[in-house]
Amino acid sequence: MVDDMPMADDEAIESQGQPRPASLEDALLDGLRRGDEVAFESLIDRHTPAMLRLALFYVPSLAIAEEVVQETWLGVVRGLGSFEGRSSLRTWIFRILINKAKASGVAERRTLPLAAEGDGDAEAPSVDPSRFRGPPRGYWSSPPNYWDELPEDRLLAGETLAVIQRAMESLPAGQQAVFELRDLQQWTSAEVCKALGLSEGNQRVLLHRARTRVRSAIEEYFDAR
Amino acid sequence: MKALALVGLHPWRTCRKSVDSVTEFLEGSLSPEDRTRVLTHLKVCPDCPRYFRQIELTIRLAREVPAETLPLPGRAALLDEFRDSHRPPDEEI
Repeated sequence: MVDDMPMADDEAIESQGQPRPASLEDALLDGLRRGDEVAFESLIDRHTPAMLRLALFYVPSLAIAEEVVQETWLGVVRGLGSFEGRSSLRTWIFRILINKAKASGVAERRTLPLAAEGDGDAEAPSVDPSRFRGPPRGYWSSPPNYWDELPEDRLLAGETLAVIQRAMESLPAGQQAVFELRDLQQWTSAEVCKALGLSEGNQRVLLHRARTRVRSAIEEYFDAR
Repeated sequence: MKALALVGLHPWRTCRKSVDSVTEFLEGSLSPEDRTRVLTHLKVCPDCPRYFRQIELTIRLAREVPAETLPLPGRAALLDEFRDSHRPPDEEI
């Protein structure tokens, strides 16, 4: 994925002193301003999957999420002239998306379960307790298997990635949104908290549970082989 | 028991606890004391370092999942809108 440059700008980021790199996004922005359709298409392809996932965090169906994403892209086209580049292009696009998703009228209904999703099982252990010996030792009785030592081509095989994708897709919406933004889009926790209206701690719990579940799915897959 | 707790070897600051705090550890949000406990545990534990590596590897692999190319409904209309928005004013007449 090309998307590994640190997110630029915005108060949250500036406070961390990350410089804004000349990037693919800058090139795309230039293209958009010149009316380059290829640049626009490439931007749509690049961000639409993540935007849909994030929209689904606020709205109850894929159809509505698709509408929200379409409206967002329309907003991008219409707002491009007034975009000053004070935040990164991506931050700006996702902010439009989140505003549209919230405005779609069902935000209230989705926001509550989201927060509760983190709180509800915050105390639940990351790993099945039966995999540890009881007190006084508390060590693993069934330690993690050695899948991390498999050759790179096994790990990156289509089948493995499909397992990971399914695991991500089956996460509850809150975990999915946080995992998407933090670990895939590489937003900072401050940005994610602000965008999703989560507390730092709540965000971390959702992220932790998401990572834990995806790891377990990989382990189970290689266990069964 | 107290001495063990100080160096991070208290039984319940062992594997289960370390595994539960992996995200806080990676985020740098543990208190300095808890961070030291986890680090100490990772030095002596034969299994937890693997778990921590696997969490990091999970994130790395998840980034390799190809974004599904999904046909966004209305994509053609979006492209039209984009084209129109860049058409010089005189062409619109």
